[in-house]
Amino acid sequence: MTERTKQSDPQTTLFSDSDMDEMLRAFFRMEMPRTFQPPAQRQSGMLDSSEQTLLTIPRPGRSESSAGRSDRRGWVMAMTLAVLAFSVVLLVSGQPNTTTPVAGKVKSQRSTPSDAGSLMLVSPNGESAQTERPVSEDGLLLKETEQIELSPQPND
Amino acid sequence: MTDSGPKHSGKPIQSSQVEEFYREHSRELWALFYSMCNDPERAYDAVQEAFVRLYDYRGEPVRDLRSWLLRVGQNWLRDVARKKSNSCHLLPGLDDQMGQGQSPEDRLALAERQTQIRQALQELNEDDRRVLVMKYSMDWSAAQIATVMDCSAAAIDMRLSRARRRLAEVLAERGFQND
Repeated sequence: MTERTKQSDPQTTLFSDSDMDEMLRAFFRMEMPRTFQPPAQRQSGMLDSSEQTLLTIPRPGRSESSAGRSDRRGWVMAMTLAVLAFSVVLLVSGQPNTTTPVAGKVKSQRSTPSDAGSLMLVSPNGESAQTERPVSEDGLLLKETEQIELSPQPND
Repeated sequence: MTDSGPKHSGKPIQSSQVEEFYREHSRELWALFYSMCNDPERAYDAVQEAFVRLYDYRGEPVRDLRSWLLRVGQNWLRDVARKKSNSCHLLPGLDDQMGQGQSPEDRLALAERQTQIRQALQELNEDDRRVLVMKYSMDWSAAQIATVMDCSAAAIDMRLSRARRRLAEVLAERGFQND
């Protein structure tokens, strides 16, 4: 602060032009970046194709040995095959006439009798309507057959 | 300064041309962007952003590279201002002072001083601020500034004088001490 030339207000003292000159030069020396580094060229669209360059980013682990890479590839192949094999097993075991332990139950094929629709006569005293049905050609009813006395006949 | 840079009509620009243009015009672009945002780091980012977009540009041929870069950087600054992103202020210049024998107190005082002047500049209108930035950061003559601001050198002299006086008033009102 060398001189103060202007005083517009008793409380405020204005700086002279030379003060301002000096102060602003120092200020902008500090404000302006020291170096201007051109930004890294990415992929050029407008630039001449002969000068186009691409930024390459080194990939981590690029320096590992080829043996390590092939080991890992083999392990991945083995895992893939194992998953495929397991899938095939699951597919096959899902067929209806085979047993599967999936739910802890054994699935089995059940035979369906062809005469499932008609009642089976187990007793002549049953309430089936079939007791009134003739069982022989001469009109003998089933309940009548109980009255027939069976006696051994001599063999001819 | 009046050179608008490599013009091309359909013919691709060589990257060496762009680099040369960067060397010649990056400071001027920084000054113009600084007068818009009053932030040295953001102004630098605007310069970098404009050149990065130039590298990526695939549109119509650019006839006036300087105007193109100025427009791109200006738009970027507007976008940033709209988003109100808070940049990390690194107290520009402090890093440069490291190792020059300054104590932490001195460095802090310097940073405080820079901030005060920056805030005072913020109170000027953009044209006044631009004139001061051109004059003191680029050390341009009134005639050079007149070319950029599209007015006469005499008008620039008047504006420069007025801007300096206005800044002095603002600093005085803020109790700034020029030690």
